[in-house]
Amino acid sequence: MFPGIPTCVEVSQEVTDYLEGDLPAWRRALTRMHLLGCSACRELVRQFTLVKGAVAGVPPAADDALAQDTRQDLLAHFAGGAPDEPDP
Amino acid sequence: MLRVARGLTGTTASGEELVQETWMAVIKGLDGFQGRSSLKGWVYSILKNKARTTARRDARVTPFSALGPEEADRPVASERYTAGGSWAQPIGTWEVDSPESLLLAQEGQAVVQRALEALPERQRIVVVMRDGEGLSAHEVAAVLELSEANVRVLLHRGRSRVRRALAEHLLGER
Repeated sequence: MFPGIPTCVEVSQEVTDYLEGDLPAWRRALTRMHLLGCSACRELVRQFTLVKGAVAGVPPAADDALAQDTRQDLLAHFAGGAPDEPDP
Repeated sequence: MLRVARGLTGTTASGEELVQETWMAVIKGLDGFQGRSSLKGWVYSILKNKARTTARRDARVTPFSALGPEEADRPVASERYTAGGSWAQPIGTWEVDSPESLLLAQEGQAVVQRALEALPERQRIVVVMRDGEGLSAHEVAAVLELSEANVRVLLHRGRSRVRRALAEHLLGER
């Protein structure tokens, strides 16, 4: 191992700082050097980028879970035995 | 905002209520908004303060204390590394080339949603605010009254857990 260049474990610990741009410039440069020579760490960084994008891409339709919940509540309420009422 | 509100309150019903209260406060307070922060950040600080008031009232306050990482918080299982810090068992490659194809592949979206719901509360709040809602780390820190360093730790752990949930789903990888 070269002195100063982060190990794979260190890269994994700092991957979020790296992607958020929060590493000091020298540390960022050393991390990039590590990544040049380590495909597994490159894949880890790539996966973190995909995760961030995936969370961003979960569509607002996820909030339709609310509509689902409301629907479930209503179904449960009506299934609970309120007698059928004739249509007005 | 609804997702954040649900994240903060823990339930769908409380989340909806919180959003309504927040919007009312926003409408009332808009004249006084001086534009020193972003509008989004300001709205979220109202949201957070209301959640905090409610939580205090319901005695459900969660302290934002920093704890050391559990194994589950790590980006990769420890045993995949050698003692020297190199890969013993490298992680597998995800055969997707974009977040969109990740969400489409094998119910990726459902996996991500479940993984978010399963996150410890503070990690979920930070990940949803930062990655889901697009607030800057600075705004998240301001709204939650955390240091940016603390936000980064929570973000790292939350994203790590979601990654591992996806790795398990896509590759059966633990």
